[in-house]
Amino acid sequence: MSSIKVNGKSVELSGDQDMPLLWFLREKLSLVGTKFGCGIGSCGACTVHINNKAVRSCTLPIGALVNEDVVTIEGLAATQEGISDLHPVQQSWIDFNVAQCGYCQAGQIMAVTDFLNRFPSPTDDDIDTHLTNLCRCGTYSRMRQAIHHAAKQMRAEKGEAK
Amino acid sequence: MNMSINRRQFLSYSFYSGALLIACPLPAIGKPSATGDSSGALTPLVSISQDNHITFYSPSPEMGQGIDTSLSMLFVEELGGDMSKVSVEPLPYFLKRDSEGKITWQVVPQFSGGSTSISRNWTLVREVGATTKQLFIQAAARAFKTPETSLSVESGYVNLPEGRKVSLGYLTDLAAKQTLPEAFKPTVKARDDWKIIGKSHFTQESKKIVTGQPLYGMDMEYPNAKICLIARCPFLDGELKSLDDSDALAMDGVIKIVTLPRPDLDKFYTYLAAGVAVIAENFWSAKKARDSLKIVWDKGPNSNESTKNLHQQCDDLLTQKGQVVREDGNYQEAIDNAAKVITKTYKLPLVSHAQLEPQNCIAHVTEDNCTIIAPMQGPGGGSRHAERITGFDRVKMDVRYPRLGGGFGRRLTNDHVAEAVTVSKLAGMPIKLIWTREDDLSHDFYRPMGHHQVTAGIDKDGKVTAWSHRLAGTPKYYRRDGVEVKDYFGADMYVDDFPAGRVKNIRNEYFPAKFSAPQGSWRAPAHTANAFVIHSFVDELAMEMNKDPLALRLEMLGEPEALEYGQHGGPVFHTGRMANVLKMAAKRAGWGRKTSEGTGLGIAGHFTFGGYCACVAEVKLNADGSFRVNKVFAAIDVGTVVNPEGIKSQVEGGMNDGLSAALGQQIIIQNSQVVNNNFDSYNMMRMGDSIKQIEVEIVDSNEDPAGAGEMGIPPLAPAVANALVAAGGPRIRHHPMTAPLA
Repeated sequence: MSSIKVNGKSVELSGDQDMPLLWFLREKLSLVGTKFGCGIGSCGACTVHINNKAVRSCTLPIGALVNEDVVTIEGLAATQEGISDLHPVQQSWIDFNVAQCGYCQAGQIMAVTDFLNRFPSPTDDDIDTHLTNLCRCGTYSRMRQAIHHAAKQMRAEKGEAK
Repeated sequence: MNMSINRRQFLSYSFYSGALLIACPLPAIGKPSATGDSSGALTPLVSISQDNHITFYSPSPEMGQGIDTSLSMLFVEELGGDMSKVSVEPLPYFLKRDSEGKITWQVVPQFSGGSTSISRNWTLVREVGATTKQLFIQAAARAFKTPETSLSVESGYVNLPEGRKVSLGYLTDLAAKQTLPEAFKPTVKARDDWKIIGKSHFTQESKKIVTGQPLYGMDMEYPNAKICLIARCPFLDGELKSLDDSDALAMDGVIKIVTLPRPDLDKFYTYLAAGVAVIAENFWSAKKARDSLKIVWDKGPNSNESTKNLHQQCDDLLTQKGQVVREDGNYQEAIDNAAKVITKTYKLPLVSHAQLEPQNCIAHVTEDNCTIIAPMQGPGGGSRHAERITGFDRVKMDVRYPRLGGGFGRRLTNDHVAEAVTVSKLAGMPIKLIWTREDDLSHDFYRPMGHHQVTAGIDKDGKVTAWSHRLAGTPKYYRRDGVEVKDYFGADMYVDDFPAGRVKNIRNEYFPAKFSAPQGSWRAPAHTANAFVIHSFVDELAMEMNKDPLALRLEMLGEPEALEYGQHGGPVFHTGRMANVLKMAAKRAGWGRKTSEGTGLGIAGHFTFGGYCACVAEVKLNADGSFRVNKVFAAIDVGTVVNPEGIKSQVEGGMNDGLSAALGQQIIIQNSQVVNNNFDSYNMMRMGDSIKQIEVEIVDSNEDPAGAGEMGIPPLAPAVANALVAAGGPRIRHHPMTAPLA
């Protein structure tokens, strides 16, 4: 049985090795911020970070994991250096009042934080091409504003850090 | 994870906890308690803790429409509270029996749907706020021995003479002990005195949402509840023929397997399909066990049904004579005398709700009671199902509705509740039912489909003198309790919709198609289809008549006047308010401006459930025929504005939702089974096709407030279809706009 890190803590991957990481997180670890939406890796509600990359956890069997570093929405802020309360993307989501029903938003935020690491100054086309999580409430236009704002904040913070 | 407190705990909190419940009379429902309880009719809508924190218990399930925020604003405005110290919880389910034994709501109806939460609660919640304020004024007057008239309440404090103030939290105990004067009637604030209503407030739950706190039914836990998945008969109205569950029962973690009988044919749906319920320790075990079941289904009476045949059926129906549901003047004569007659047909498919949180429900049926925890827009309906299934008194049930991961009408039907209660009863244990996405798309109450044939007769002066709208489609009221076939049309054709009352000679006909798929309410129900049809057609008329599409609309709306409107959202439709939002959207968009090559503007405006919303869409047509909605300029009039930010976000969301439905969504059924049952094949819009930018202008007025959850959707699709033509593209008369009907 292998073990992984979840939000900085070591966790043994016990149980059925076919079980998708999503259900391991939700049912074994009670980390229910990661959501079930489709079960086929299409909607992105289950997005987590594995070794700093956004991954859809609903189709990833725990048996495929060895020593990975998993971060969920619950640990997003706490596992990043210099952030105590909220990640800039989370803060931007609040500042732009993005969430409506909110069910998809944890997955959206996990996808966007990874995206902004890869595209620190994203264009609208970058956003259109690389962000594919579903939102039935239709918060896309708000998200776009919040993403640009968060990108600016993150660039400013990086600048300050230098 | 526990969601809020249950009813019994709640009542005890009101007596024993430091966070005291403010018990205040409800003049709006104003009956003294029949039990002779000296406290009278009490409302538990709010508690205020000693640290001055206000918890508002909302009677309207929150599903993303922002009702938690706006209802709490109404209350806090009148109380004189501080919105930054307010949180909102669902009001525990409170039913009672009145003196005649009839079940009614103890406090206030607990329901969300039809954009009615604001209009239903507008007066009531403010009066409760004003009444609560009076209790604090009395308490402060007594405590500080000062006349009531010298006191006021502001930002969470009672202002005392000489600039002193005392917090509401400090006075809570004393306030709860006050008795209101016999003749007390709450006076709500004058509009000029509002400090909270009319100002933008954000969702209080934002931080919990963005940090992944457990908020939804899917996140709830219940002692000893095991996970349940159901293998439902994939054939509409089919049933279980044989079952071999030996492999499943031998699997790790599998606890029990029970079969669900098929719902009665031609009866109101309690739940949708015959099935086999697998109960296991966790989701994955339940899923694996379900996949291993060897089931032979009896395909039932409808095994050859397909959406392809359904569309053919509707084409055929339109060649016949239908049920005339509105007739004004002499349509035939007007058509015969028209200088020009234009007929177009528009086609819309079945669509699914596809709310992101799949259906789920915790149910625990014991020997004498029942607990339900589920996303529900109408918890009363959920408990009614449970009463039918268990025979237990629903007044006594423990029913809880956490935040909904999307509603859109899907949680108006409580089939998931009925299923979970049935399984818990049969299995004799608490269960948590989870639907997969495949379950959700295959067993939905779909938005009705329809073929709409619209005809206009134009006289020699270019005036529309005859109008007919013929609709052949699946009725939403199919299998509804107590609805006769002759009344089916009412949910799909709103006969007082524009241009009724403005065209002299009208004939509307309805043809209910026969199809066994369940139908239901889908955000802004029939308005989504009808707005697309009517406002696309008005543009087609404008082109035929060489008129500007906005000018023709304003001409047809005529002088500002309140026309009778008998359907939901009435009693009147005001042509002037409609014209106004059209003009506002047009002005904002620079209507009539020259656009760049391949870009076009399209306009539409629609009256939905008491609200007026118009928009101009700016669409860019690409060389390969694809297109993108770059910008939408919207204007909305929902009367008195409670929360501008709430209205704005609902319009923005509604417009994207409307685009998503119009572009790619359709449920495809072959051999009586849904074939596109997950998001790889059921085509919902993603960021890459979404509206890049939306501007929303809001009319504020003294008119009664309507909700805002559904008004944004209807005008979007016709505005886009019209813009596409203006951009040089084809006229698209069907949804999905980007794929053929299948």
